[in-house]
Amino acid sequence: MKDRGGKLSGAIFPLIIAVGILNALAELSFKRGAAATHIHAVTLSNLPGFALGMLSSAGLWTGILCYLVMFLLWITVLSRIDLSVAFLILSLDYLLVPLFSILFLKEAVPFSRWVGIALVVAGICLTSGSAAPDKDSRL
Amino acid sequence: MTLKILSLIFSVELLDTGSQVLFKKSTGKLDPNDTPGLKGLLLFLGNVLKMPAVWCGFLLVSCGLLLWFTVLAEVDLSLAFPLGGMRYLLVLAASNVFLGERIGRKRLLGGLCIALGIACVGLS
Repeated sequence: MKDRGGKLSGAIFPLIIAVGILNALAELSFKRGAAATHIHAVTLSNLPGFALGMLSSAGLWTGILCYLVMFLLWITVLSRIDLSVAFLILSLDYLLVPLFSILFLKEAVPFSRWVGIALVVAGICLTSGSAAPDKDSRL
Repeated sequence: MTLKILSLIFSVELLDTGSQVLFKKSTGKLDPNDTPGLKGLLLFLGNVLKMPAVWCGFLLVSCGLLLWFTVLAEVDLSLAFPLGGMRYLLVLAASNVFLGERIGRKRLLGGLCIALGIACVGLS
């Protein structure tokens, strides 16, 4: 398991990207569900109302559906590569979400945010490089 | 943004990390390439769902989601996003400790870059 654990094949990237997109969609849906409850701070006293609000929101169920599909893809990814590699590459979300916002929502992304995104991408490149069975990259 | 929210976020991250380790453990001994094609994939998924670890993972995800929903309801999430990077470092550590994955210098540096980048994104 450990010997093949590190190897990255090209086919795995589209799968991880799909997981990333589904994860972002689920997050967005959950956030919408929480917003639909109109409760701004959950305490013990308004917890039942919050739970009912969430259960009757479309956001919760869309998010759960995304999670289910995501799980099927993710488990396939995990059967092939190290968790530490797959999970770090998932941070691709931090690049995908601003890109989607620019393309589809015509949102402006401030320069300082691009610096952060560049760091994330650099981290992903380093991680992908570390997945090759390369002696130099092991401690 | 209070101590309550911070501890909620940290608990969510811990539960999430735990579920990832369990998911990985439940696939570790199975290879979807044993039987090729769609049939093989379905066979593989069926086998995964027979593993107790995967169900423990679902339990942790569900607990994490419930906590996360109460975080989402808060108006001020200014700290939640920059702190999101910590999950990548938690998973790196857990992969090494619980799964025996070897984390080289490159991968560690990659994780640190990602966490730092997310902090920058969150603060901007």
